[in-house]
Amino acid sequence: MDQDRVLLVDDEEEFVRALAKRLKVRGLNVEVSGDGESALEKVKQSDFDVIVLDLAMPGIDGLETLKRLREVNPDLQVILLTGHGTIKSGVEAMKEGATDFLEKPAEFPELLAKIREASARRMVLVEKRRQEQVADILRERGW
Amino acid sequence: MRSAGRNRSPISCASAVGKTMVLTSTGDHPPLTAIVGGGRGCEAILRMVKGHTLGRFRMSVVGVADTNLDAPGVRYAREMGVERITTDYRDLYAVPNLDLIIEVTGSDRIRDELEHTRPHHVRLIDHFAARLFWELHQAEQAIIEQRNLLNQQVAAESKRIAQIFDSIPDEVLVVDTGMIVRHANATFLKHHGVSLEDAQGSSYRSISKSLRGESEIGLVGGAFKQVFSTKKPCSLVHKSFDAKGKAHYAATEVAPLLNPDGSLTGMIEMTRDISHRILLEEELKATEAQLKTFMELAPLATYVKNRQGQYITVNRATCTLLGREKSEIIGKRDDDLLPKEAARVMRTGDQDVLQALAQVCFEAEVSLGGNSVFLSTIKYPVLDAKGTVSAVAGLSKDVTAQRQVEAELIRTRGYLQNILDTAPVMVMTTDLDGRIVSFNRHAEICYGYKAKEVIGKPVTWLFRSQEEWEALSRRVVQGGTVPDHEITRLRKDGSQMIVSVTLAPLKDNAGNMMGTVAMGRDITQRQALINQVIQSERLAAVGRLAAGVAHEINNPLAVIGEITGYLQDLTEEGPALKRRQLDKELQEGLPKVAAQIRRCRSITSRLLSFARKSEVRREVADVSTALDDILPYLTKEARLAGVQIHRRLHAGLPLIRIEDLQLEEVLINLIKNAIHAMSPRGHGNIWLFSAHRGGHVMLTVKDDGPGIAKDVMDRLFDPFVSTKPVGQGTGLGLSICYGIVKHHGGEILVESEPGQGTIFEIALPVAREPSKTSQ
Repeated sequence: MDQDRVLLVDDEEEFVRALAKRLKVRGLNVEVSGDGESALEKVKQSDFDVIVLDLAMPGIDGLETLKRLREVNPDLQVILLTGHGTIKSGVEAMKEGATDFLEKPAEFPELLAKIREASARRMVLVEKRRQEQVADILRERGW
Repeated sequence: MRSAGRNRSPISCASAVGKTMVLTSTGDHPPLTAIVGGGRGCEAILRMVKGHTLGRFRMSVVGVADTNLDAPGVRYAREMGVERITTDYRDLYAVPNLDLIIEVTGSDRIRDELEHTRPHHVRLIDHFAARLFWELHQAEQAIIEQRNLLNQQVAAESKRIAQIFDSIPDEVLVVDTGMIVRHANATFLKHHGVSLEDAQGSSYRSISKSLRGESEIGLVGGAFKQVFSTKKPCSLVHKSFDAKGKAHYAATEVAPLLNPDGSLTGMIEMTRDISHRILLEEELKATEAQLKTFMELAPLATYVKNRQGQYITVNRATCTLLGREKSEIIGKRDDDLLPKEAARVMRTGDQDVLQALAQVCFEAEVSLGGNSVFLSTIKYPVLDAKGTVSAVAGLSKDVTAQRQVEAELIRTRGYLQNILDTAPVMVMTTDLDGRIVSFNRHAEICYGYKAKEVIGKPVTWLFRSQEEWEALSRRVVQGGTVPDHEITRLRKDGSQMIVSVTLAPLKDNAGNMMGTVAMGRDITQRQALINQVIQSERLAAVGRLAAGVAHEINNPLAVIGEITGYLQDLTEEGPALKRRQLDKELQEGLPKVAAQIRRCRSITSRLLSFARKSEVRREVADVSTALDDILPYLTKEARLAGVQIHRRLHAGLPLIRIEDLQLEEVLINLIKNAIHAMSPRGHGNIWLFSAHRGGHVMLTVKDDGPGIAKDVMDRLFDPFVSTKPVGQGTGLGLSICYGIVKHHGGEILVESEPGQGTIFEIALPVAREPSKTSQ
C-alpha cells in the first residue's frame, strides 16, 4: 500500500517539525508548510491525501486557506487544528468542507486516528471516482 | 363908553378930547401924521407905531419937529427913517396930505401956535390929549400883558396835560360831538403810525377805518353811541388779529366829556392792549383745566377735605372707590360715607396730618360695599397763603390685587424654598465676590454645616484650595455652565466627600451676572460603588487577557507535547532504533523543550507581574509605561485578527494624574474594542497618538475599522451597551472608561462615522510634579 501523503500547515515551526517526525515514524509521508500560501502551492504541485491545517495563522487564515484548497481539489481531506476552538469556527470549518477538526494541543493518537480515517475516506473517494470513470468508459464505448 | 369895548377906547378918548377928532383912516391908508416935540413922548409914540401896539388905531409918521435934533424922539425917528425931521414945526405943514399933528412938547404956547397956524384939514392932538391917550394905552397894555400871561399859563397847563396824555400807555383819543378827532395822545399816534396833524380834524370813522378793522369800528362805534345817549362811561373788550394771525386783545373805555351845565362836548376813548393779560388768563385757565382733568382722571382716588372733615373736591376714582356719585360725596364726612371702622381709620389719618402738619402714609384693610379692600393712602396738609392748614388732601389706592400678588409671591417663594430645601441636591449660590449667599438643607446635611455658619463666608472655605475655585469660576464667567465636575470637599467633621457639581452663572432678569449657582450631589457612595465596578471590570479585563495568555501558552505547550511525544515514540520503539540516533534526537529535542518552557515562563511571569501590580497603586501614570505593560497581551490577539498596532507616541510626555492601573484599563478597553471591531474583517490598523496640550495629555486611539453606528453612538458610554454577541461583552467597558476618565478630571471624546473608522480621544490632566516621574 502506498504511504499516506500528509501536508501539515502551521505557523508554529517547532510544532510542525516535531509532529512531522512523529507521523513519519508512523510510516506517513509528511510535508510541512508555514502558511496558507505555500500550502496552496504545494497542493497544486503534488497530490495529498490529508491536510492538517492550523486555523489561526497570519496572512490568509485557516478558513480562507481551506476554501482555496477545496477549490483546487474538492476531494482533499482537511483536518483543522484550532487554537481556542469554538463551536462557531468548527461549524464554519465543517461548512467549508473540512473533514474534521481538533482542538490544540491535540492528543497525538487522536490526530493520527483522524488522519488515517481521512486517508481511508480519501481512498474510498478515489476508488469511487475510478469506478465512475470505468462505468463512463463502458457506457461510452458500448461494448 | 363901557359898551364901546376895550379895543375902541383910545379912539373914543381922543374924540372926547377934541370934538373934531375922529381918528378913522380916510380911505385905505392910515392917517399921515407929524409929531411936534422930539422928547420921550415922541419916542413912545414912535415905538408904539413900530410895535403895532396901538391896537386898531393906525398911523403913518411922516415927520418930526424939535428944536433939539438930538432929542431921544428925534434920534429914534431918524433911526426909523422918518422922512422929514426939522427944527421948525412949520416945515411940517408942507407935507402933502398931512392928516394929523400930535403935539407932545408939553408947552401950551406951542400948542396954541399950532392951533392957530395949522392948515385947516390937519387935525391936532395936543399934549394933553396925547397924555390921556398914553395913559389909556398904558392901561390897555397892562390888560394885554395880563392876558398874555394867562394865555401862557393856559398853554403851559395844556402842554402839561398833553404830556400827561402822551405818557399814558393807553391810546387816548378825544372826539367832539360831531365825532371829529380833537386830540390823540402819543401812544395812539405811535401805535397807529399817524401824526397828530393827520389825526386832528379828521373824522373818527375815517381814522378808525384805516387803523382798525371794520368789526371793531362797529363795536367801538356802538360804545360811542351808547355814551352819546346815556352820557355814562362804557367799556368793552375786543379781539383782533394782526397780519401774522396773532390774536390781540384790547380793552376800550369810552367816557363822556361834559360841560359844567351837563351838556356833552365830546367823548374820550382810551384803549389798552390787554393781549398779554388775556393770554396769561387763558393760560391760567388752560392750566387749571388741565389740572382739573389731571386730577379727575387720576387713577388714584384723589380728594381734598376741609378741617371739619367734609369732602370739598373729589375725583372720579374717588367716586368709583366709594361707589357713589360726586354730588353724594361733596360736603359729606367719612362717617356719612364709609362703614364705621373704615371711617375711623380715615379720620385718624386726617387727625394725624393736622397734628403733625406733615405727610402721613398708611395702609389699611377696610370694608367697602361688602368687599374687603386694601387701601394704601397718603394724606398731606394743604396750606393757605398764611401758612395755616386749610385742608387735608389725600390719595388712596386699592392695592388689594397687589397684596394678593405679594401674598402669591410669598407663597411661591415658600414653595420654591421648600423645593430647594427638600430636593436631595445640594444647592448653593454665591455672589460675584465668591461669597456664599444661599445654602440649602441638603447641603447642610451633606456638609454638616448649618446655612448660617457658611452664608457670607468665601466659597473657597469649602474648597481644598483657592486655585480650584478660581479655575472653576473662571470657566463659569467665560463659558457658562460647567457640567458634572467632580471635586473633593471636606465635611465639617473633616471627612472627605466627593461631590459631582454643576456650576452655572446666576443672572438677573436683565442678563447681568450676579454670581454663581452650584448644584452638587454627594457621590462619595456612588464613587465607591463605581470603584467596585471598576475593580470587577478589571477582573473581567484580566480574564480577557487570560484568554490571550492561554492562547499564547497553548502554542509552546503544543510544541513541547509533540517533541516529547516524538522522543517517547523513539524510546517505545526501543531496539528498532540505534542508541546513537536516540541520543541525537534527545540532544536536539530537549533544548527545544526547554526553550518552549522558557517561553511559557516568560508569559506566566508577565502575567504575574501584571497581576501583582494591582496591589501597588500609584496616583500618577506614564502613558508609555502603561502601553509597554499591556501591549504584549494585545499584539498576539491583534495579529490573529490581522490588525496592526502603530505606536506614535510623543517622547517625554509628562505624567498624568491617574492611577496607572486605571489608565491601563482604559487603554486595554479601547484597544481591544478596536481589535474586536476589525477582527471579522480580518485586517485593519490601530494608531496610538499622544500629545501634550494646555495642562492635559491627549491620548488618541484611532482605527480604520467599520466605525460606530449612529444609534449606538448616542448611548456609547452608557453601561450595558454592547454590540458584541450575548455572552461576549459585559457592555461595561466604555462606561467604565468614561467613569475613570471623568473621575480624574479628564474628558473622553469619540468621533466616528460608519465605514470611516473611529477615534477615541482622552484628555487627562498633567500631574502637578513631573519631576518625581522616575519612581
